[in-house]
Amino acid sequence: MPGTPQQRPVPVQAGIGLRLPHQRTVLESRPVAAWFEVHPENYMADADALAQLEGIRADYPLSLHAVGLSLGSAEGVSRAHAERLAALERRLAPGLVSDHLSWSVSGPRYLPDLLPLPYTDEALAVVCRNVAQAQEWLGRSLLLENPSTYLAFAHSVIPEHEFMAEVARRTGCGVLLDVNNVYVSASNQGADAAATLAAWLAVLTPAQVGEIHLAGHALTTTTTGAPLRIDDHGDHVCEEVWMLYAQALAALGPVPTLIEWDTRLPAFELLQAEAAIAQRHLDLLDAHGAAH
Amino acid sequence: MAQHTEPTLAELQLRMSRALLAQEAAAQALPPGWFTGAHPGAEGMRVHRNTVLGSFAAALRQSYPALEALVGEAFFDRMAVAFARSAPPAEPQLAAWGEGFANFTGGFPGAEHLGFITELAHFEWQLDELGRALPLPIGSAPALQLAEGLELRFAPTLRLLPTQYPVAALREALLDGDAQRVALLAGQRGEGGQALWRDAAGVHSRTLRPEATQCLALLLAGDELQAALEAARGETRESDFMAIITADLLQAGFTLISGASS
Repeated sequence: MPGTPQQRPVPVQAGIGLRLPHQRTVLESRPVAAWFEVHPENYMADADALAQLEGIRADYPLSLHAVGLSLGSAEGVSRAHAERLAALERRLAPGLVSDHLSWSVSGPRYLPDLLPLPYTDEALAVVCRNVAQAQEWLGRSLLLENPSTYLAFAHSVIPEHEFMAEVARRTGCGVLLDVNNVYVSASNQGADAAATLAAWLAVLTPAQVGEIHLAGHALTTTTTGAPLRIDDHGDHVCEEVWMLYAQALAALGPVPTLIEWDTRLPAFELLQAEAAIAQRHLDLLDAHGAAH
Repeated sequence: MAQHTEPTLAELQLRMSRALLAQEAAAQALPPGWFTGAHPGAEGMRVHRNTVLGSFAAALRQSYPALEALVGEAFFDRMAVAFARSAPPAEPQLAAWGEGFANFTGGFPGAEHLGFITELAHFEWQLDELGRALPLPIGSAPALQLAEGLELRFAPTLRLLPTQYPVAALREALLDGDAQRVALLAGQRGEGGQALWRDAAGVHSRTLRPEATQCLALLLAGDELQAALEAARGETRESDFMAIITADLLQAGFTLISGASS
């Protein structure tokens, strides 16, 4: 009788976000990939997909990247949802478990988006309480990802990177640094992305950053014609984000890195090609010695 | 003045979630004083509203592909968004949300003339739900005593959908894009049912005649075999009735007849 699988760490290599349309191909052809990350919510009501994922998990390290804990909700984290995540965690023994610095639940409604928080003392207390609670229920530490933002609250008083660093300090959680999100948010707020990333890197230690995300985004316009970047995970990683990634690696040293692609999902081979670019950045860092 | 007071986190999240789901422009607006930055808050809210409503529509599209083929993408999205506004999910696993959409479609303005739309939607939901279930071996189902030394088992995942329209054929024609056949089938009405089940090979459905539908409904409700057969026969001639039961139930892919285990 199979027992709980042994937890396999995610390697310090470039992995791929695995989406359901690619799952059978991966299961059947076992393509080259250093590790996979999945959204656990896609498996909570799909026993068939979960059985396939268990087959994949046997051959690849796995990370669970949740979107539904709603760690920024004033009303707290849903015990029921945390237990569903914990059950998957026990079954799949992933190397990493993460969610976002955002909220998606208010009262009886779940809104499928990563909604922004005002960065206030009240929100800081709420997020810390929720992260600590989720970590206790899961029996392990989480990584928390910085979201893309499209609006800013007037009563925010703490810069986002300081807010995140304080959550990590108070709860012991790690950070999932999404470099594309840094770029999108900085661009949408009219800030310099390299300077914004430098501010992030100044408050985080390499040990706190457990994972980096890379993705493509869309460039659109507001109703008044101003440029607006949308984090739709529907394109190649853009050149500016590759440069920010190099900046992050130079400061942090090698970090497990994930290629995410969700909308207009291309052939799996294209994701492998994007991951190969990230891997070259990591290899270059190894060749030159990691910065610390 | 009150609208510029800093909201508590709970108030902000309650009002923002309501504003994101609201249909009327006035209800979508939040106090401009809440926001700062390069773009007005309404622009950011527009992005989030598009993501939220688009994700709802995408989730329903996964479950109801023939329904979308029937009404077209734009009309489907309007129905999906209207449904999501009236019954948003409470939980993040969106694949399990949307069963109520089937009944919602029937009363949706502009869909009233599609008499079969609700039945088709129920059929698609059942297929989708079975597609997410694990196949279970038929031997794990409880046995019915068929005759001396013979047992009958149905697939443990078997479910029955009573129908008035040929929904399985309609769905196939819609997914094939065969408008002529859809028009022909939409005019065919008659009592019957769809048996749906999941096994290792995938999800299956089988059209049942009224007698078999009634008999299976009784058996699934827990009736004894003999009682179900007698109740389902009605006015049908004995030989015709047994031919229907044999073809639709006893020889169906969801049925296993074997020697009694003890």
